[in-house]
Amino acid sequence: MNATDENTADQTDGLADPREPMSYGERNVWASAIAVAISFVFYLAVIIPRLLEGPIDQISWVTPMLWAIGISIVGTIVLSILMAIGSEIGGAISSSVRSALTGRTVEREAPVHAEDVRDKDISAYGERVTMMGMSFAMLVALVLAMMHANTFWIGSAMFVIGSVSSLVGAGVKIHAYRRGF
Amino acid sequence: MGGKRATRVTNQIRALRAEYGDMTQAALAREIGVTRQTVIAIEQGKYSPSLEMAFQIARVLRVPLDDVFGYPDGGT
Repeated sequence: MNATDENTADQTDGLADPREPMSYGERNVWASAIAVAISFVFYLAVIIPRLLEGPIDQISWVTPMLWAIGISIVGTIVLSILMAIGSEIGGAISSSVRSALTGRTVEREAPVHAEDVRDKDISAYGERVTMMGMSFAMLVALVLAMMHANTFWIGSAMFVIGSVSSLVGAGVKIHAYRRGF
Repeated sequence: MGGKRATRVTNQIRALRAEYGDMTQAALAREIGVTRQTVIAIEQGKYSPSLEMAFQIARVLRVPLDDVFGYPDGGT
């Protein structure tokens, strides 16, 4: 029996809960990716119109970037909490529905609020990709500083490349969760 | 890593769970100290457990390691 056959059989022979809830680690990756994406879009939405309107040395970019960083950090925490609550509610609904459908009491699966070894392995794998991007961001910032570029370009380059690196790292982690690692 | 199947290691965990008194994925996960999602990933060939975890799984299922995991010929 190959892995696919085994998986198909597992859904029908009562050996497993067919519901496959997202792991703690994957939930946090999604929360972080969504928050970083929102903060990235926020920063660009504020800065690009200013960039088109006036000279670069008069652009007010520090406050929007601090807001964007704040959105990223607070958003990750808030989304992680909301997704954990959603997972709890989903688990309760799933066990109730299965109890109703099967006519017997289906024990609710204990929610997981901690990383296990697979979460840690996948996290380290994704962080390697993110760190490569961060290293590139530092290199770009150094080159811009050596060229006496405006601080707007140095700060923005680090923020943009850092955000993209985080998103790519999150994508690598989600791929590892979904497709294998 | 990555790709269609992340590992060439095959396993008989699901069949052995059935033999071992219809042990659930959650019960096996508890025994070896991981989440059920990790047991699912191992069964589906999406995650290669460490050698230590492989021994733990074999011990819980009370079979030799070779009965749980296999590696196809023709690979290095």
